[in-house]
Amino acid sequence: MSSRKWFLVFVVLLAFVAVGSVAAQEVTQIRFGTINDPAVERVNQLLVENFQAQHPGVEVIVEYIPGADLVSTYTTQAAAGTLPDVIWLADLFVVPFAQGDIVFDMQPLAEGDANFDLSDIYDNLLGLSRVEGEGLYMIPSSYDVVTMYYNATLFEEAGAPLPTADWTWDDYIAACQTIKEATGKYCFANGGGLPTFEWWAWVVPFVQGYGGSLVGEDGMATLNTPETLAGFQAYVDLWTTHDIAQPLDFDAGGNCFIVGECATMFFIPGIMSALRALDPQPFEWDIQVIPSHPEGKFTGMGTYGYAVSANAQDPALAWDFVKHLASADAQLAIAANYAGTPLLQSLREDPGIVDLAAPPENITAFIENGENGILPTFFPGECGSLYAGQINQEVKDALETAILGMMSVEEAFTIANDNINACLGG
Amino acid sequence: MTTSTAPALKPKRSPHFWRNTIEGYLFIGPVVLGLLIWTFGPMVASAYYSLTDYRIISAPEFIGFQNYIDLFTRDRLFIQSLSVTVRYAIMVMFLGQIVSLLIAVLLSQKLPGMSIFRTFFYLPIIVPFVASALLWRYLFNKDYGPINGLLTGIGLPEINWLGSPHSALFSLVIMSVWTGAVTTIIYVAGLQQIPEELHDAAKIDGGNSVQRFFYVTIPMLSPTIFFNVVTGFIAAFQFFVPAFLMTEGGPANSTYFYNLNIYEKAFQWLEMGYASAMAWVIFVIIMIITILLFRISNRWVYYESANES
Amino acid sequence: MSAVSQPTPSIQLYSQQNQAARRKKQVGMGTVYALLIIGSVIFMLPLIIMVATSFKSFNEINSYPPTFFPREWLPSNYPDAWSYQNTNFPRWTLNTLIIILGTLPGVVLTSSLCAYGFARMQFPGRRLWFGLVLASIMLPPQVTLIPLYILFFQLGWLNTFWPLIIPAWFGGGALNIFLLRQFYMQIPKELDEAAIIDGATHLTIWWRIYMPLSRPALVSVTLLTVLQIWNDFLGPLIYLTSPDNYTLALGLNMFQGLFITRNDYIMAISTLMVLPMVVMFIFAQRYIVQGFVTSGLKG
Repeated sequence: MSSRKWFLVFVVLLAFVAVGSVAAQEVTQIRFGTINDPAVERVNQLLVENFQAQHPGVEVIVEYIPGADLVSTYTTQAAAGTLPDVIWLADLFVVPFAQGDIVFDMQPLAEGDANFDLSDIYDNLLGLSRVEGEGLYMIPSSYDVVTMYYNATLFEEAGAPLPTADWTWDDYIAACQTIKEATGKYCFANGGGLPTFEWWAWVVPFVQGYGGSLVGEDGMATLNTPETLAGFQAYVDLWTTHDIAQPLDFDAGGNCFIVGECATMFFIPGIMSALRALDPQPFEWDIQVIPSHPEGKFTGMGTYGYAVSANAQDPALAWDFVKHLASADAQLAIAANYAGTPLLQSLREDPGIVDLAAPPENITAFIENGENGILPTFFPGECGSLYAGQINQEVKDALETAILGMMSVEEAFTIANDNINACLGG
Repeated sequence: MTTSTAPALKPKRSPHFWRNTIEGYLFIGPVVLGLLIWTFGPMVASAYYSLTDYRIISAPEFIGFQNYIDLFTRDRLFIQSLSVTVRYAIMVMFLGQIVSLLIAVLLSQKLPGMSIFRTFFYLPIIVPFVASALLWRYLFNKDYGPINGLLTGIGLPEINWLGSPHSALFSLVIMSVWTGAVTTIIYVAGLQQIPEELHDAAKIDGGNSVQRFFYVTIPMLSPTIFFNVVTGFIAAFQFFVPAFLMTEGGPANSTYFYNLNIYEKAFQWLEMGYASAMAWVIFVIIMIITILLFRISNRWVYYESANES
Repeated sequence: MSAVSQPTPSIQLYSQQNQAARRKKQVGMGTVYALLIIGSVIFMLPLIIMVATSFKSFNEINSYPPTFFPREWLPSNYPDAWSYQNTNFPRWTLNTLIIILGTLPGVVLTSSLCAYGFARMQFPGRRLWFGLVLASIMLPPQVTLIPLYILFFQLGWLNTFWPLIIPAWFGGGALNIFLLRQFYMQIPKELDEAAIIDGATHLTIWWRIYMPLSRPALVSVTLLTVLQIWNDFLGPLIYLTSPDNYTLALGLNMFQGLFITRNDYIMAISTLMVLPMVVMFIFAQRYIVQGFVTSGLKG
């Protein structure tokens, strides 16, 4: 064992590392935290290029956040105050990060910027960037309203009618049952990726579609009112009574819709890029506006975007970087990569989106469906939200026990309601 | 055997007392410094957090023992996750140690080609995490997984491994045993350290291989077994990443491990104060079990130089 | 029990018994090999699937039911993964090696030094400190992550390799100290007593007797340390922010995008990452196999 030699090698290497880490600290710089996705890459490049054209003296340092452990990275960096100036953010972080002063309120910057027209962005979408309608903590990347994707090949094989814009959920269920009988395949894909059966963007629209709500005017939970229960029941029925939803224990090895085992999927526009990455296309698919509930059409939204962290040394500089995300330039680049649909009303009829090559043929359905997008219910107090914390846990457990048939919907949600109110009330 | 260094009565300080002390601390100096610099500070910090309402992104606010009170009175998942963890730890301890030891004995045979076989058995642990979560989900899949394929092939019923609340925890136990090569490696090294002539002596005395295993191998290996049992327990109590990646704690919270609970409380609920209280509760539990294991170890762990009490 | 106390067989029976023993030994060898082969297949299964998946097309990975072996072998996954957007695998391999080389001597030297102190020296506070060493790994690490991170931040060590290297030089990890202590306590004490009479210091005894004698354990410590660094994800994730400083395990996560996760590439890079570990294991076996057997120690 020649440990002396090892030691020398070690010292030399360390010196090399140390020099490397000291050298990079002089120029004015802006740190940009983002995610590495082929569909998003072009947009990131545009943001960097545009910013560097405006501020040639400022260096942009790109830091990638490995998708799997975003949360612990951010919270740790936030606790120590080392977040990058501009950060990639998802809707679920907006409220806690805004409340914890981790992200900067860009509303004044947006209003004071003559080159920026906030009113051009769809208003319901901006709700995801605000806390109870106040402030602006994230520029969303796209008009990310949950829309129905369907496997046209499967529908046709089974002899089921293709979805139309005036479908009700009853039409949907009937078509799905035809498919189930003819092919044995399921219809409602429960995510396959991260959003599973408890994703608020699927459940809450059912509640509202039956005239229910999750919180009353007194700020207490109302999970067991007759209307709300009817909504939950209709959602759970997709698994139980109708047996057309992907069972919770059916692991298709990936997204059930993408692997061709589920006839539909309810998701945001960006997943087009994943579908189109399949070459050749394994089946024909298209999109359609979501079906309507008794009380009308409701669907969820879920978006990511960029925010100025409270840590930014020069928020105005960081704003210059972020705001370009909402430019026609960047929005059309996102559309061209099938990573989303433009969030600017002025681009509603733009050939850059309307004339995009199929699939999806019916791409404008994303925008038509946009007005149906609702916001996640806001719960006051410190009991969590529909994304995380006790409220999320209770709703998830209630849905799971009901879907698995361990309890009735009424029993499960009465328990959840009592637990949530015990927290909200005390 | 020298037992004379551990007399029953406390001797007067030897003339070398101070020299021995200084020399001793020079030897353990690195770890003493390491604990002082890297470990105790963060531990004290987390102990303090456990007495606060600390939402990571806002400053901690002192609330006394409220987190501990909530934990025992209001948190229904506390007991559930503790029970999952204890059941897992017991299963994985028994199954894991036995399987690893048997494999280690097999791998310690002096036969040609053994180093290749050893490598084969160690392979499961060298697969990166991201990849192994995908692989195990595939292996356990109820519809097309190779494990169920094998079961139906020999006429047994299929098992809904990860999909049923009854079997999901046990599936993770199997996976942990399968990837228990760290334990195996340490057993193999321990077996190598047993002097050959002890086996030879037993052979001359006419002991067959089973007898040699129980009367020579096991006692001589007991310090290694003790190490694997203690560290195995600590590791089992802290297990959660595969559960996080493969089952997300489900179905029906049947794989909601205690440390997964801590992770979610800390980084998803952003309740670091509460998570710290949870961590200190499990810390005390692990510590009590470890102390018990050390106490019991006097009865069955055999050290060649028996100077350790 | 009775067999152990039986007297040594008489000379007349010796040759007969020898033949029987040889036959028995051959049967035993056959059984051992059979068990080894079956076990190897079982234990290699995940790896076989990993390698097979690394050759599948993106379409095939996204099809149902998944195939075991690729319908069409696609070696191009390897160059494609190696040069995926925004990745720099040569650099990340180098970074990982730097961390390993910087850590390993610290782990091996300081853990065995401390283990010797705990196993073989008499001084007040020895048991207390050993207890503290063990206790340090009992607190779930999730709650010390943030204070530790803030500590490294204040030291100015973020985005450098220091947080991953320097702590290893302070005892090399509680588990390694514990492991080596167990091994050292098995070494007959007569050895160091004899050496002490010859005037050797503890330092000499540790270096000349205990280090060579505990080679199987030290090799195990080395193997496990390398493996741990090679696959460590959380440490690099938290401490290394700029892509230039990434490690391989961190780089593997660059294939997890927002909409598109390239499992084909993850498997290809995983396979490449496993190869050097396989070589290391085969190589290290030579050193584990010889322990007390050839070191010339006689009880």
